[in-house]
Amino acid sequence: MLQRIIFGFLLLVTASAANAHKPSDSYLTITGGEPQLRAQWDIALKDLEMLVGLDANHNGEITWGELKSRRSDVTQHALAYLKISADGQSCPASLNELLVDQHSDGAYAVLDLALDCPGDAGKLVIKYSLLFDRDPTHRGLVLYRDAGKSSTHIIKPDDRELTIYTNEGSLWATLKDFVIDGVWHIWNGFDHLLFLLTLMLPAVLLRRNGRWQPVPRFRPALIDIFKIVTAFTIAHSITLWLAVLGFIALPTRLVESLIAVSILVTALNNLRPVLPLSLWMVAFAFGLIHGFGFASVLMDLGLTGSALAVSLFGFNVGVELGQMAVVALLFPMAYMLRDTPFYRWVILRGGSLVAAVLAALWLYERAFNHVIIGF
Amino acid sequence: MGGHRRKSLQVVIKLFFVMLSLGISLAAFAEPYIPASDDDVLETLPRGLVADQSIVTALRQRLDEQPKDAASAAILAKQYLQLGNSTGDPRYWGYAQSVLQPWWELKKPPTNILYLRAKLHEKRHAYDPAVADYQTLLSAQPGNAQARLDLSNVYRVQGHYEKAQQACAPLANSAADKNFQICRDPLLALTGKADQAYDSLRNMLPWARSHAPALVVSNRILMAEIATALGDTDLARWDYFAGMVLVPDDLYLLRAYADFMLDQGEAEQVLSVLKDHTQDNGILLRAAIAADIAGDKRAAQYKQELQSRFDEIRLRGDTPHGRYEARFELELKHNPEKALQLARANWALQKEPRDTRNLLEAALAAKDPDAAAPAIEFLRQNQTQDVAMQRLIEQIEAL
Repeated sequence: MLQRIIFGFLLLVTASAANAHKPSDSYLTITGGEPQLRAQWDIALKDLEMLVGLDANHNGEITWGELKSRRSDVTQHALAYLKISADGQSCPASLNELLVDQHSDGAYAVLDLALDCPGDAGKLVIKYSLLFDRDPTHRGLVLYRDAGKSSTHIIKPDDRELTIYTNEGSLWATLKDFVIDGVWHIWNGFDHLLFLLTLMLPAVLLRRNGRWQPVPRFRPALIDIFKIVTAFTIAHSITLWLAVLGFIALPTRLVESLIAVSILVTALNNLRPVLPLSLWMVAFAFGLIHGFGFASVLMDLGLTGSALAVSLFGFNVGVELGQMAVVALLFPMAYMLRDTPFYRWVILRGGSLVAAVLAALWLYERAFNHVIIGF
Repeated sequence: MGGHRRKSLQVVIKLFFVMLSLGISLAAFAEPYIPASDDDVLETLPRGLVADQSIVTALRQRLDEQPKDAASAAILAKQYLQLGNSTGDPRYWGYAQSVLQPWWELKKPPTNILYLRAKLHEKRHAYDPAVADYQTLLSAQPGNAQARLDLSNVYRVQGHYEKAQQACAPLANSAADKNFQICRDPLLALTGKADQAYDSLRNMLPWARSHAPALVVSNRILMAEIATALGDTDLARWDYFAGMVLVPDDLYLLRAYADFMLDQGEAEQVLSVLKDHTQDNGILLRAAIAADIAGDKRAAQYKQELQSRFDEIRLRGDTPHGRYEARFELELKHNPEKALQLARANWALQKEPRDTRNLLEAALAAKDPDAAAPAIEFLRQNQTQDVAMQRLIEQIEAL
């Protein structure tokens, strides 16, 4: 009993005093940007003593000779708890060199590892579980670095898989990624493309006395279409920024339904022009709605700060480039065909009719949450 | 021109990111090397681990086969817990937790497991879960003096002196009434009966010398702290000497003694006493403060080292001990606002005299008497005697 109390009292005295170091960590540095990926893994000798046993002569001191003699056991044990893959391809690791380093809580073995993967991989997945079954307070601290930047990450027992996008962190790379995303969003986001096309169909024609007539010259027509696209751009930029920065939030279903409405109305207006508006005004009004649609893509990414600003800007630029590409591709053809019955009947009326039907189906699907055509 | 500008912007952005990440990672990711000789000693293992290695290995093997063997788990976890205490290295508390993993989430594990779990919570400053576990344990074993003592201790650290007193009370009737004294004296010291606490601790010394030598140092530290609080610096110095003669490398003693000497304006002596123990963050903090005051050339190095240890803790997603970081900000970085913010947050968790004093000092430096008000009220309500804190209160009230 006395013995127990003494033990207890000693603890009592040191209870609030013990905060000497930090708990166990290992440091995994992954270097990209070279022909091959490299890794350097620092593991505390005290932890390795527990995991594989280093103090061969049991004198309480771990020497360099003792560590070296366990080199393959240490490497084998450690690598059994680390799996790295790059762009979906697994990266077998092999030991280049065993070194030593000092951290604030003691000496560490340093495994200098070659990873059999290209150094320019865009996506790294690291599965780490060293020590987790022996110390739930252990953390794997990962530093990724390449030529110009670095990022740090923590791996914990309840989340043992880490994904690093190696382009993240560089604003230029972010900008590039989002410009590409923006372009693709126009090409793949079928409803935006359809709206733009529907809007463009009558741009090479003029409505006179209830009849369609071809525009006389290329230049004014091009300026008209430029006005339409620009109005659409300005409008959707406004709502895109407002939504992504969190000033306005609309339910996704409402936005998607309104986008369908915008196509439907534009298409019907092509068939029977009733809107007392010029096309650029229509483009502006409906562009406001499409901006919310673009925003949903970006908001899911959870970006903040400069990365958010850059990605927004990049995405916007990408959307514009995508639209311009569509215009550059289709407008000359439309201009050449404008004076034919084929254009007036098949392209303008037929196309608008198809667009109207599609939009009506989408509207039904989106408003009532009921899938018919599955776009 | 445009290309040129873009390039320089690119450089600026890159630099920004490099600096941002270097700032936190440099300390942890240093330059590795190959030792010159096979005989180079890289690491010295804790004595306790070496002495009991065969026991630890045997228990490990046993638990690998039978992870739910409560008896083996309790022995091994206790072994690791003590290793963590003696070395100040929290990795051993992590090892202990992994041994207890099969019982970690259970409401009512076996009592010996429950006790160790409570201790581990306490080590991590998770006081509420620790209290809950001690209470569960005491409701099963009301006569467990050890758990009573520990429960009282956690309450005292939290500043709940009445609850701490109540936890001790049942010990007064037990056969070994030294238990009651051990439980009660630290509370007397903080609740207006410091003289009585000092006498009780001193009277216990002869008994402790013959029956429990380890208790002598603990009593000396408490006695020195009480004497300091009462303003009797000669008596305090004598008690610290007596403790240092017995155990010159007790970290708790060194920290307390260093604070005493800093208060007496003996920064040079602090440096010479602490210089071999700076692997401990609390010691390093005092050494850095002393070096700063004394204008010693190690000041910058100590300060940098401390900063990188805090960074290392943050790097792994934890928060440095508020008691240390508040003093670091106030006394070394001269940033009263940040220090006050840290001292307040820390004081919400624990209210030992040093925590309260940190709050008062930071509030005074930040000229924010309102921030100090709860701490002043706390001291008055408990009638805590402490000349240093009394002076601080007077200065704060004169603001």
